[in-house]
Amino acid sequence: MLVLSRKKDESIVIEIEQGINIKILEVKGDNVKIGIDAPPHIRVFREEVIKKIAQENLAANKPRGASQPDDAMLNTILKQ
Amino acid sequence: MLVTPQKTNYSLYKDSLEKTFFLPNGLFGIENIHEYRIQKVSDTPFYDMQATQEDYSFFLINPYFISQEFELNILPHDYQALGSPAYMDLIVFSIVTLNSDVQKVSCNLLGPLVINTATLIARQCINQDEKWVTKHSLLTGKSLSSTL
Repeated sequence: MLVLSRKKDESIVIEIEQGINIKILEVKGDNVKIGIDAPPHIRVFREEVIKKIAQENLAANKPRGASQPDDAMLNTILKQ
Repeated sequence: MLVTPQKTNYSLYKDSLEKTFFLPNGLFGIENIHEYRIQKVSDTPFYDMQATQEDYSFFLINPYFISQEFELNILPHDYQALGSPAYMDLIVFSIVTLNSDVQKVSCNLLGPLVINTATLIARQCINQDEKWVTKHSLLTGKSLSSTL
């Protein structure tokens, strides 16, 4: 991993031709506020959020052939 | 940004979903699968989404059917990536996670699937309001997972 030290208001540039710029906006205790400029096709996420969604997607993948939810389950859900 | 897609226009769903749609970024955790088809499961509120090439399939549901309070609050980046569509061209689905215990059948309101029906481009977005969770019980309407 590349490790760089930055102070408040200093930036890191990634792929200069793509215009990705990461700036340290504020440092308060163990909390760092970061500003990110990037074009729309660059997706920026908090890691714990995408890990949680990825985990749920994999859990939701159902076996082929499970053409519809079990009837009893469906009836219970629909009665609510 | 708060986006207001079609909430109940099922005829639009039916008409648009007979075609293959394209997920340029895939689903989170399944980024390499880009083409899916959706079909309504007859006589149920569920939709069946199947990858056209690989063995991935999911049940979907209209999140507004599950929670009348549901709102779609996505990043402007996501909206632009969908082609900045008119709201009437957008539909949104929540991915369902089945469980043998009906109490634990849930849908994902944190990572909804948004489709631009005009271009058939779709994207799994992240709902920016942190009250929405990945495991929202279909039965009780309550969270089965901790919020982030």
